[in-house]
Amino acid sequence: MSAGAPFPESVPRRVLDADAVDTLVRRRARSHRIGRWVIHALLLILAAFFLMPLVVMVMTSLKSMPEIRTGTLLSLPQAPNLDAWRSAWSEACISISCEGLSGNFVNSFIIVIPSVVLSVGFGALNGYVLTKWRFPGANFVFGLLLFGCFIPFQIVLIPMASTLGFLGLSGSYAGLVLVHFVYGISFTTLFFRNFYVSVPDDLMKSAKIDGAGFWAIFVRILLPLSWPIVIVSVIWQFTNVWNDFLFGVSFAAGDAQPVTVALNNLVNTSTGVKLYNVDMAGAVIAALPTILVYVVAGRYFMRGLMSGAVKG
Amino acid sequence: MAGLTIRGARKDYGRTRVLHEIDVDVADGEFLVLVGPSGCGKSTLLNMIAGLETVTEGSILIDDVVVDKLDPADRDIAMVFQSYALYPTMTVAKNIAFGLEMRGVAKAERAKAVERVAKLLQIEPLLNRKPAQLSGGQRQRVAMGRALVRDPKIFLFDEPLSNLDAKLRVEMRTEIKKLHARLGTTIVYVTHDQIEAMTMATRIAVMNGGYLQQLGTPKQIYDRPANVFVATFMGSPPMNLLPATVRGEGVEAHLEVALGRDGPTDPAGTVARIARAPLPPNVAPEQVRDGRSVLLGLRPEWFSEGTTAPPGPVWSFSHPVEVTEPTGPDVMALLSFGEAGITEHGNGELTVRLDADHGARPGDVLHLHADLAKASLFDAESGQSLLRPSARTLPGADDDSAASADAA
Repeated sequence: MSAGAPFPESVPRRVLDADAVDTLVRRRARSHRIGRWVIHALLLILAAFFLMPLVVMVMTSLKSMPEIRTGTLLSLPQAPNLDAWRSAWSEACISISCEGLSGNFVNSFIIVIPSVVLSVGFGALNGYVLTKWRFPGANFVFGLLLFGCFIPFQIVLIPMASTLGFLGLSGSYAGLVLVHFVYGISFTTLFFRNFYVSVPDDLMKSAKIDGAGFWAIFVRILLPLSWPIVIVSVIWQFTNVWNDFLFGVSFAAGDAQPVTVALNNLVNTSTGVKLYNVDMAGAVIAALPTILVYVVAGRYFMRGLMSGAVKG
Repeated sequence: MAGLTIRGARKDYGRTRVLHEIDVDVADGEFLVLVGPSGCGKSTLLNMIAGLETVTEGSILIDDVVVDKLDPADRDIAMVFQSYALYPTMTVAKNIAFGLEMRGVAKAERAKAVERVAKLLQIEPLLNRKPAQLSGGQRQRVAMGRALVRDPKIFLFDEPLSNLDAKLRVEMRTEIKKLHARLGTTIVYVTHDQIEAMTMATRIAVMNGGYLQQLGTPKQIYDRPANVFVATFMGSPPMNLLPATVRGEGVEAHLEVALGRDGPTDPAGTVARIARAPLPPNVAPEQVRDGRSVLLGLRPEWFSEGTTAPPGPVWSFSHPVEVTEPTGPDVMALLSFGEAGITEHGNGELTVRLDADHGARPGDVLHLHADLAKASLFDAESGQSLLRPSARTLPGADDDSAASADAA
């Protein structure tokens, strides 16, 4: 308002005294509160939407068949019992054998564990070589590996079937492990390569001067600081291989089938009455390991994805 | 403890030549500093000595043994990096002992060696910490400890102080110098900071654009720069370079220096003012040619001010002060030479160092006497020094005139 001020007189200036400040603060606080309620309500609705199927499954598995027939989807179990669970685990009939899912549950572990170990291990090695021991054509090789991430399962089915037949591994555990290992290596290489890229080259120089060779550097220096990305890769691979249905149904036979395939067969096998509670129990059993992995290690997954490798 | 010889070393990356014909002889126990601006090739040369880069042509000898086919681990060298490069998942003790472990040294001996080094560097209380729990200065010491414990023939330092704050940098500089005095191991040290180079080196190798510009003691580099690049790179504020022309031949030869159009006798600036200056006594006689364009090199502290000229060869002239910059211990007076003094080597300004209590103010006329015995003269086109080679050593210098590998 003084003569030299650049602000034109015609523009109204807001007067900020104690009262005005008070009103402003109150108004802002109210709009903040309303905003917050709206956001929380939305989040609750979305959470409920996503959790609903799991809730319905668990509730249904705890009811008896008469209760299911007379009640609704969302009605709480009146006399919750684990009969359906017992049946799904050891008594239910899957095609011709009536031994439940227990055997297939174990199969899934037999398939998943070696697949995860192999694909994560080799992914780490690939990432290490591609970033720290560059060779001519390294980028091309990486591009090819990356290409593998985007190939749909279905395209690979027939070539893979003939390859397994040629190797004599059709229908066996080893065959399915090989399929998952090869398929998973694209992803794990990508994860590890992107992680190791941010490890400073000076560390490598220092290690070489100290006398460490190819394996010493990998095992003593890089792996110990790789835990974030190892966890990410393990969780990713475990979930993908456990949940896989297509490779399981194509390449595993009979007793070697994973729990996902067995579940599908369980649900489609009916001797007259469709036992919903057993089906639901079976589904929850099949999903349990991956749910547990996410509940227990989910936050490490997020942290691992967001962490850099080394700072200083 | 070993001598290092770099003979005709060249480095190419594909079709790009990054280092041209570097020849350096480092005596046992010397502290050689490779200094130059970013991209001059000093780190590449250091990596070649270490074995982290291959030598395209030429050879590297440690203790008269050709090592350029050897792995870094087999050359008996240790390196300290700018980023410290400490192994993040290992404790300080393990970091220091890692090199020994890789060489199969027994556990008990390793522990003893680590303790010895930790005591030397005063990092004993840090031995069980991880690098992430250390400050920058502490990490630097651990990095040095890791190099020291191997007792190598040569220490290589790659800009180790660049990541430290100014105060810590000064402290660590002194520590490294003391360490060198105590251990006597040959050190090759890379930096872009010319003050580090001047204070720490027994000899400096100034590099630019992949060429070795000059190799000499700090005094030689400072007082007798081999070319314009060395003259302006070393020393802060940089050496003044005044455009001049040689006139006359033989005994009659002198310089004509353009002092611009502003002068005490011509405030309107209508006449170009040319001052006649004697030729510096150390100029090589065969370089004196009538009409040759040259640059007269005078450091700010080589001027004295007053009505009476000091003894010896001097060039006396008067000029008004434009700006004064008090630095604490002295006052830098900037004199403007107007358009006449503008070249790519300056912006028409002369910086003169005056005593802190001098009291000169902008506008005052200073009566300056430049010490020509110390002055340098450079060819204006090539930038090369025109001084006699024997004059490259100043009286009183300890080393004989080291080979100044002047490259084109």
